[in-house]
Amino acid sequence: MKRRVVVTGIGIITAHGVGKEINWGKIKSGISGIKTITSFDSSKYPGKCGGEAREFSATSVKNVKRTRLDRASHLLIHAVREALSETENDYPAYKNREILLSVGTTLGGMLSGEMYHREVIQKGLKRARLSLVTDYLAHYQAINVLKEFELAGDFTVFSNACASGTNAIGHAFNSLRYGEYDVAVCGGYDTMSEFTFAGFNSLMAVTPTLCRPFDKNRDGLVLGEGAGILILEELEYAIRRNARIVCEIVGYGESSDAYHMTSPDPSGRHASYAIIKALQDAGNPKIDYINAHGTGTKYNDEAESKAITMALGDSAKEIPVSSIKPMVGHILGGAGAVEAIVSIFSIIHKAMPPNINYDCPDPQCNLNIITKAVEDDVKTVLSNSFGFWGSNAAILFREYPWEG
Amino acid sequence: MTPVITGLSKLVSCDLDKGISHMNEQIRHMRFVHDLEKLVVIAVGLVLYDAGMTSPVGKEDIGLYVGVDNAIEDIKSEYFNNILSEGILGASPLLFPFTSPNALTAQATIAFDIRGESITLPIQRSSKDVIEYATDCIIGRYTKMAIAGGITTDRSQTSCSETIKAPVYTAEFFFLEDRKSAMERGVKVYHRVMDGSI
Repeated sequence: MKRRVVVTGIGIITAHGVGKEINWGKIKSGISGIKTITSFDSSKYPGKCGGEAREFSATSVKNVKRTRLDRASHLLIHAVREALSETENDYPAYKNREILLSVGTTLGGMLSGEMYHREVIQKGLKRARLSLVTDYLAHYQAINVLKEFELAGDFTVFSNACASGTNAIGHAFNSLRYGEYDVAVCGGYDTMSEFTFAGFNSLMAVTPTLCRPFDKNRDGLVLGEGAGILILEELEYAIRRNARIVCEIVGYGESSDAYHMTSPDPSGRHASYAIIKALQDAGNPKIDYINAHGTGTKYNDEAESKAITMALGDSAKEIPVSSIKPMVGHILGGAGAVEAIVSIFSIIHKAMPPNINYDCPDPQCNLNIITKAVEDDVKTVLSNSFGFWGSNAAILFREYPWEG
Repeated sequence: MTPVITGLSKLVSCDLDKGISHMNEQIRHMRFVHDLEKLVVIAVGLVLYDAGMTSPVGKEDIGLYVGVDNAIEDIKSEYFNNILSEGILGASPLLFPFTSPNALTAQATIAFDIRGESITLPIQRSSKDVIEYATDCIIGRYTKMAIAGGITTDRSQTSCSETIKAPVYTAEFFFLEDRKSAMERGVKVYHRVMDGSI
């Protein structure tokens, strides 16, 4: 029998800042956190801007060596701390309990890897400091979280491109539903690195102007960095410990395009399977808002529009849709998690954030794109994530308690 | 629901030519960017063959679950060293997508038209985790069948031949499905899977 799973804690860091209040305030207001990149020289690239988390430098740690942590670990640990702080009174109980840590990332500790490679080029292999790569591989950051918070249990790391964060939450959701765990810490993270920036620029996928999801004149994405973390608990367990329940997760679906390395299947057919699976998983509820993957690239937005229309039929044209990527950038492995959190905010605060920079409707993206924040009785939200290599994931959040 | 193994494959990067001779015309003529990619595609092809599946699969009910150890770092190194030595022009748009570990999984989905879930776990003990994950997906009915396995790197052995120095990679895959499905298909059953263990 499937158990019910609820969200009881949230932690978020983006270009807008650190924490829930500042992020929701700016996202709802349609403020852009995109600026010229400062962490490396971006002047030589066609696209020069990004969503760096400038207000965040490092977090305090007590159980791991601070000097050896990559920025990715700092982001992740800080977001986990914020999420756990909501369960502060009961947090010690987690220490004696097996929990699941499920996170998504595409880059892991890439900034450390960059530094190491630079030293190899400049000083030679024998003189490059190996200590630089102690937090490089994509699973080390999860291990640092387990150590820092003295959590017992297991961890899983997903590296499924831009769907990684949603995959990580979906895996945690399923693990709790089937009784493997009562509590999970899940989400995603990624940093701003020249490695990725150069790659997306070489693919000519980065906008030299503004990121405009679903706009007819859209010309590319903008990268971002950050982390998003959710604490999930099995409903009865959360009620027993009198936890503050934020919302419920009710459906999750994945699929694969099997089409191309960087382009989505233009028909949107296989992306729609992920949405359909999530909807069926949740018993086909009425959707009040869609937080789109909406990268601002020509092919993604068109394929996503078709996928949404295929999955939701005629109602697709009515449901408000927006993408937050023009405001915080594309956080890659963290995107799904941060967008899941914004989806939850829209349920809690009964408002949907705007799709900024949208001026010219594209007939190929025939959706109800909202350009200003809309206040409404948002109960159920769909959040989409579609990654490189055709990795598709969709997840559904619903208000709690549900009186439908 | 009783997940069982109905297909096995194990391929070492030194034996790529031997492995590809078992593939159909389409796979034999595929252009590969990196040996790792070729290794995964052929190993997945071999497990499909062993499990009695026709190729291309063209189904949404088969998922592909791949664990990658630090093998992917070799592609990242190649890509990033090019940027450092040649500047911005060194960023290869062809190699960049392969720096994401799910590139290997996805190439196999494209090669064999596998349209179910495709999941990549980039951790050291990934094969065990991946088999456990795939088993859970079958039990939870998220997928009817699963191809689960991983790639490991042997850096102690850095050459397949006298002339070419390169790390040796090994790909191992299992084809998993419910025992009832295996009986309906009339295929051999190697083992039963319990809690991710065989």
